[in-house]
Amino acid sequence: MRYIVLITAILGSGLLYLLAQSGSSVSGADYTLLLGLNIAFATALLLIIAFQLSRLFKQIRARVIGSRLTLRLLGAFALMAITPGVIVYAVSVNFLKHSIESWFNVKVEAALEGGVRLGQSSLDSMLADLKQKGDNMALNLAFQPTNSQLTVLNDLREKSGVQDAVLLTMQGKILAFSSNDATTFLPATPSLDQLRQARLRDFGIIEPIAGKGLYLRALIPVNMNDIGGETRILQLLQPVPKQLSDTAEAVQNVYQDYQELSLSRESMKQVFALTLTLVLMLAMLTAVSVAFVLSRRLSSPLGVLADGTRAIARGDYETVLPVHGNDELGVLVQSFNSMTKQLGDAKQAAESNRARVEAARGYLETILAHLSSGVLALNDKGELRTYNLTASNILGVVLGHFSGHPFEKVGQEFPHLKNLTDLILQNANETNLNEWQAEIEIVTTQGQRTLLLRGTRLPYSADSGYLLVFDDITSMVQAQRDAAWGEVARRLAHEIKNPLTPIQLSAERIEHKLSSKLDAADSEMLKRATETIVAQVDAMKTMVNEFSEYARAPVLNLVNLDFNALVRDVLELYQPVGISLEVALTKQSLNLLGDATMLRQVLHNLLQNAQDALDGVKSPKIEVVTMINANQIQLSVADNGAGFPMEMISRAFEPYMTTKRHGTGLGLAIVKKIVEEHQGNIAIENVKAELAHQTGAVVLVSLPMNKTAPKKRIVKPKKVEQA
Amino acid sequence: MMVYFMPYYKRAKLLYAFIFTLLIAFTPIANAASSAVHIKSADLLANEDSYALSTDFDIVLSPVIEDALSKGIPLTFLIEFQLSTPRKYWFDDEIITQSQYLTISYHALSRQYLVVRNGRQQSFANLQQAKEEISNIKSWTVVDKKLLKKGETYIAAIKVRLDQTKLPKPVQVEAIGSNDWNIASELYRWTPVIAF
Repeated sequence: MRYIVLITAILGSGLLYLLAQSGSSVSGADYTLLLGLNIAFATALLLIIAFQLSRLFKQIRARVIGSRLTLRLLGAFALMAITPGVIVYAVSVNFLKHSIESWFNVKVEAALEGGVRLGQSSLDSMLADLKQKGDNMALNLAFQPTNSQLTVLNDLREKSGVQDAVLLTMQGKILAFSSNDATTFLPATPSLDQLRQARLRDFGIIEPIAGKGLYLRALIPVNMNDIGGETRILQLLQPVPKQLSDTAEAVQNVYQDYQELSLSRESMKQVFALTLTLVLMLAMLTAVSVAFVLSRRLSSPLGVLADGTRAIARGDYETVLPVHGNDELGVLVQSFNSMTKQLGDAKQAAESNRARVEAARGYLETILAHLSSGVLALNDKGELRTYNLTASNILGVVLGHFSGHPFEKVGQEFPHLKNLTDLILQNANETNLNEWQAEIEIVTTQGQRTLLLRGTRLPYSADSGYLLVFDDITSMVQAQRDAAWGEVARRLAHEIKNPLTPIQLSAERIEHKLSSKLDAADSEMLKRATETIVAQVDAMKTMVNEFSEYARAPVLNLVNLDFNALVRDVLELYQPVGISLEVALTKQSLNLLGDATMLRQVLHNLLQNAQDALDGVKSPKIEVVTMINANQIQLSVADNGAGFPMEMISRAFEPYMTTKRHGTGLGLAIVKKIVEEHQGNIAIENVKAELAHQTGAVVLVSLPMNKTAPKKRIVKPKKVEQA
Repeated sequence: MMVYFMPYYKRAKLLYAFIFTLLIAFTPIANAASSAVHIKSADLLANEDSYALSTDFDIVLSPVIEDALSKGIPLTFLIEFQLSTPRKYWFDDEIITQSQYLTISYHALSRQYLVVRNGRQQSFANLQQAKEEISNIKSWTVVDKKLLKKGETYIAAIKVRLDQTKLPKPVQVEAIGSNDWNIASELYRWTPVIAF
């Protein structure tokens, strides 16, 4: 575009120069050609401008940044160029018309005409003078004989001072010729027409002869007085004096020039006006084109800036805008670039900061998730803000549903947690910043659990609130209890066992010594009494042994054995009457490193418990299932009895916890002890098959598998028994 | 520019109006009493070794032209002659083209009309005589017999027109696009009888 404008400007100025010159020197055809070229050129410029304008308007409609500014600048530039142009144009057209008009005024024309007429009249008078001379000569000649005509003619010519004198016949035949000019051999003869006119009367004519200037020609009839009476014609030829003729010719030429100009004045006005108009048009169109280029150049950095802004809006901080120059716009672009760079740096810093915070939070969350304690955080409004998985597990509630909700809703939805939430909220509402600690018991499906709560108010900040950490200390309490009971049982067994043997021996001795001294009746009574004593002491011994069994220090005889075979072995011996036994043993081999005797006792105790629970139950049923679950051997023994009372279920493994009328209450305690000695778990759950209106209890035992043991070395349970 | 403040279409209209006005302003208005040249007759006559053209035509000058002439502006007429061989499917084969200038002018001092033909000047007392002189051309040798072949058909054409380039410069400007100054005959064509 820039080059087009440059080329057009150069072309246009050339054409304009030619056009301006043409007013005086170029011929009409050339002028027409120039005019046509200029018009074509103007049209081309117009087309270019129209194209540019349409493109600009399209851009404006498309809201291209910078296009409005371009239009504005264009308008301003064009206005600047066109206003003076139009004024100069108007003034010069007006001036031109007036000045052209002023050339042609009446006085000048009259003066020129007068000059021409003056010339004419002076020539006329000279011609009249010549004619007069001719008349005199004709009179003289008329009385001369024909043979002396030439000499007379010569004399007469000399006397009258005429240059050429010729005597002619009516047919134009030369009779006599006399000339002042020696170089002239032949006179310039008049035409036949002129001769005819001269026959009747004097005929004078002013004649411009090519190459010789103005001549006066007078033809005078000479009526000869001789016999023939034939009319002759005397021609006198006299050049107009050079000075006069030159002056007259000059006047005539000026008059002619004036007439030429006068004739073409309208068209000259038109031509000048047209030339001016074209000049104006070309100048303006060129100005507008140049304005286009200039405004585009000025507004192009804006487009660049707009692109940069868009890039930043997209989040692209890498774009570096090309710097245009060292004017203000260039400086603007430079500062834009530096701003972009700073923004990019700031964003990067923010990004890395965020990543660090994120990592820290992730780390904290990982710690929280792997914490064995439950953690709850409430905000100032008492809403649940943070929790960990352990908290959910301990409470048996999906806390995710309550995240961001008031914490008391947990208590409302789960009534068994009501006292817990109440306690927490009560402490949370207190304003003291001190830590508090409390133990609380809640009842879950796994029975009663003991929780140790520790709460503290977070320091006042944006993240202030209340932090609660709690642990399920049920098992710890249980262990303490177990240890205490074991100690008690051991001591008691020891204390009780010591006097039993003397008691038994003393009773047997009393019977032995006194039975012979008593009569039959007394002796019988003594015998019964001592038997009772011995029997009771035996019972007590058994009981004490059981106690000591429970309390004994773990000594396990661990061997590789097949758990399924062991279960089958025990079930073979165990055939209860009136109870249907359903056995589902997994077909996978369940290798186990364990003490066969102990494990037999476990099975025995569990089956005995189940059988006891089925007393008086319709269609009693015991299910024994083994399976592998998460690399653990799992054994479940289920009955369809009444199940455990809820308050019992958490303490079912404590010694002396029994619902049965007979029994020591040590069965499950021993089972648990053995299982734990095998690094296993035991759990009791009440069956909640409400659809089938079934009740019952399930005892779940998991034992670790022994994967490393080769199959061949598995010791059969029977051999163990024999051993 | 003022136009800037107008809507686009208005500007376009303005532009068209401007161009239209320009066209109108410089379009010549047809003049009723116009000049004309009419060729009445033309013929090729054989000389000893060439052919000479004789032609007779009428020159009618409009009052404007007569006025201009009487004010001293010379009129130069160009007589063009062309002899060609017609061809069926192509441009005619040009044998020869000849032209001749005839200038008629008014000499105000002597009140004579001057006719210049081939550098020879003649003067006439009135315009009619001068016109008669120039409109009658006799024995203008135009073509050599050597150029012609026997049995061939030829077409001769003649045209008479006012040579505007010979007008004085200011008048040329006046003559641009003017009907008054556009004096030309139609092309007169005939088939000459060629006799050897």
